[in-house]
Amino acid sequence: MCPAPAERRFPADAGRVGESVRFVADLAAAAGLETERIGRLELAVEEAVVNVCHYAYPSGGGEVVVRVTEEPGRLTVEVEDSGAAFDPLSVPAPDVAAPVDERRIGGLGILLIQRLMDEVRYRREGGRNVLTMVVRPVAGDR
Amino acid sequence: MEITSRQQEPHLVVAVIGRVDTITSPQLDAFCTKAIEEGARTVVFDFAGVEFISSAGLRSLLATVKRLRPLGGGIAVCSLQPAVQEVFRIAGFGSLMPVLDDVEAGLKAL
Repeated sequence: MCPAPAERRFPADAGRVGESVRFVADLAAAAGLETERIGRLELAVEEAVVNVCHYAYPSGGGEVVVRVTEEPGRLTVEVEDSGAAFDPLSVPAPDVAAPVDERRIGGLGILLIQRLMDEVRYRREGGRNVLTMVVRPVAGDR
Repeated sequence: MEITSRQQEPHLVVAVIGRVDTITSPQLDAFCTKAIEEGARTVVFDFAGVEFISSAGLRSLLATVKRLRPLGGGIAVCSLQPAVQEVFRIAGFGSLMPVLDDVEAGLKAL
């Protein structure tokens, strides 16, 4: 059985990113996900939502929709915005071996999402950007 | 997030407790900026109480390194919890600053 996804809309305001992080963390905890996995999810949600807040709506305003679907052996989080088409996964990975003077933080959030989540996908659908992140319990680890 | 500091000549030891994220990292930025203005040149961060760091927190640390380098200073980060250690590893921060098991080692590294 696939329960209906839980969905909530938040203002695209980086100062309020904690609300979407807590929304996902509470559902993940209720689903029985391990603390370590919840921590990864909190980080991924913060990075994804902050990206939307910073880049999706250059003239301000806007919303970010966060949707959580619990299925056996996986928790799926979708972060959705209706800003300009933008695939965050197309951004070149930052050089994490560069010396201090050349080191930049841009792109690090996406890199963290990609490394900490079990699956990450982007799609453009009906005028919206949807970033899908999947985390599996430790028992189902690769 | 809570930040406390103590002088352990010639270094400043800065203990951080809680989450270093988008919301709290401006606090860390402000603390470090003030400490540097007040003369700190070598800063040992005690991260034993840091349970969470995001790219915003990494940005604060990198900014502090970049401010201190021209002044001949630097930072060390100590006592990372496993989740924070994983983030440092992915971000390649171990090549930007000494990352050590405890504050004692941090004090010796700078």
